[in-house]
Amino acid sequence: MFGELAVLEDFDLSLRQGEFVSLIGPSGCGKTTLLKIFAGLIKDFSGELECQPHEESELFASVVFQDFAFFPWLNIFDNIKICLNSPIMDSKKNRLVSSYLERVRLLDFKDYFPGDLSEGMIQRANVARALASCSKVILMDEPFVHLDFLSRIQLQQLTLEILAGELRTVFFITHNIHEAVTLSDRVVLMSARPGKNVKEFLIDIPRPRDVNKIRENRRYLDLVGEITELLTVEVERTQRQFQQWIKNKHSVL
Amino acid sequence: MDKKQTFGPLSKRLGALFNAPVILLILWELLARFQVIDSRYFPAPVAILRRLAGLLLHDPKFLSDLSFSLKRLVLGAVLAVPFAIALGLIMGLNQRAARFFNPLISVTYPIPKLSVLPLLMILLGIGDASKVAIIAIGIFYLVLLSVIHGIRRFPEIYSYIAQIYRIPFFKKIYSIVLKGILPDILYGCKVGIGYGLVMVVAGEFFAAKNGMGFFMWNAWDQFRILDVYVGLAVFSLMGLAVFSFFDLLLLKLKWRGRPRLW
Repeated sequence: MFGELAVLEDFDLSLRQGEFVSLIGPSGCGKTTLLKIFAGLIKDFSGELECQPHEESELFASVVFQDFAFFPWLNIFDNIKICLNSPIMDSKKNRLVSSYLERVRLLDFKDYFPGDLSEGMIQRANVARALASCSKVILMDEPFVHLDFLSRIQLQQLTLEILAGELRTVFFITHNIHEAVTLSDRVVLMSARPGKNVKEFLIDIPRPRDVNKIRENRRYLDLVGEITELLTVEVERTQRQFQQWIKNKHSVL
Repeated sequence: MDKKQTFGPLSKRLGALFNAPVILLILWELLARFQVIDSRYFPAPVAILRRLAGLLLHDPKFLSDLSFSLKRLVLGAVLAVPFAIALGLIMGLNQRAARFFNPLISVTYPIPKLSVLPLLMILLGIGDASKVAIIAIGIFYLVLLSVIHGIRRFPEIYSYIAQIYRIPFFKKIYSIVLKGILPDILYGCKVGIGYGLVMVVAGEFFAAKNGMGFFMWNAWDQFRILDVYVGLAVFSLMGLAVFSFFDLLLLKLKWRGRPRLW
């Protein structure tokens, strides 16, 4: 898929059950590639992917996409229900969809078409779908990147609250350091391409957390500062790589 | 701004009548009435409609001609549309099938469909079979191309969702692909069946004993100019009916035309 170009190199990561791990790194360092490998969308890679033993019939990993990821011709309820494909009773599927729609406060909108909802509502439905699919692992690829500031804060709070009662493992990709620290148990910093994990930060801020209050937390501020410093180094490295690449390209021409 | 509110629904409906065909018909009627144009060659629309009504009410042969044409059109559509959808699905979803069939479509599509009629008449005889076949061929391509185009337009993320959430094959075909390309299918049918009318006339011009094409050809032969116009009016109304029917179905798809986010 990428020819001879190595997107990831020496990348090593393990997730514990119920853990919320964020991956942060410069653009183009292979974050999305990694997520696609986890999700099974890329099968042609060298390396090892090991999952906890699970029933073949149950879904192991679900994904919350950053883009508009619904079928415009199905209403929100059916859009979620069509993604529940484990062998369970139809009535149980209906209950699952309803209960998660309720938890993301969209139950009143279950008959609406996706095109009628706002970006924030769509991403809430996206989260509800991942949860309703009952997967052990939820992969989130910059899910709130298109939202305005306030919707983003709301969605972060909602994510914190919903996940508090669930034993789900979440792998969360973001560019936003504040978001990563707010939500995670662990933040992994990825290097410039070829991506490898540079450093891990344990986010030892007690839960339950509040998106607004956490910003005054001393430990939060220290962590954000520390991660920002290291990320800056990697981003600058990426920029140098890019400039070099442009120079090479022009010298060939 | 205030003016808009004073226009009630009635005047709005009257306003909708104020369009090109209506104005043209009124102009035509007046010109023919006052003998500005020769009404033997350009009979007034009202005269044409009166003749049409008379034929519909009193002439069983005309009614059977009409029903023969409709029957052929419907039969042609019933034969063509399912095949076109099926092949379109296969070509749209399978790269290898697309590579296999594409050259065939590219080579045969540009052939004027009418030019195949002589061959069809040799192979299938001069009866109904060749007439229905030429109609079906005319409809087939337009529906097929529309279906393929519809599937090609699907964003990549649809297949990601289907893979990640393991949506089973038949659910995928029915709830995602078919429902998703329904507007394209309907649009293809609209254009295709409208085009099928061309094939109806053409088929019935040659070696036919009935049908609206035969009626028109006969009228020309016997120099009944008014009846030639009646034939034209019938085809134009049939076309209008086909277009309106599919436009109505397309309007029923409420999810269309909603703003796409991102």
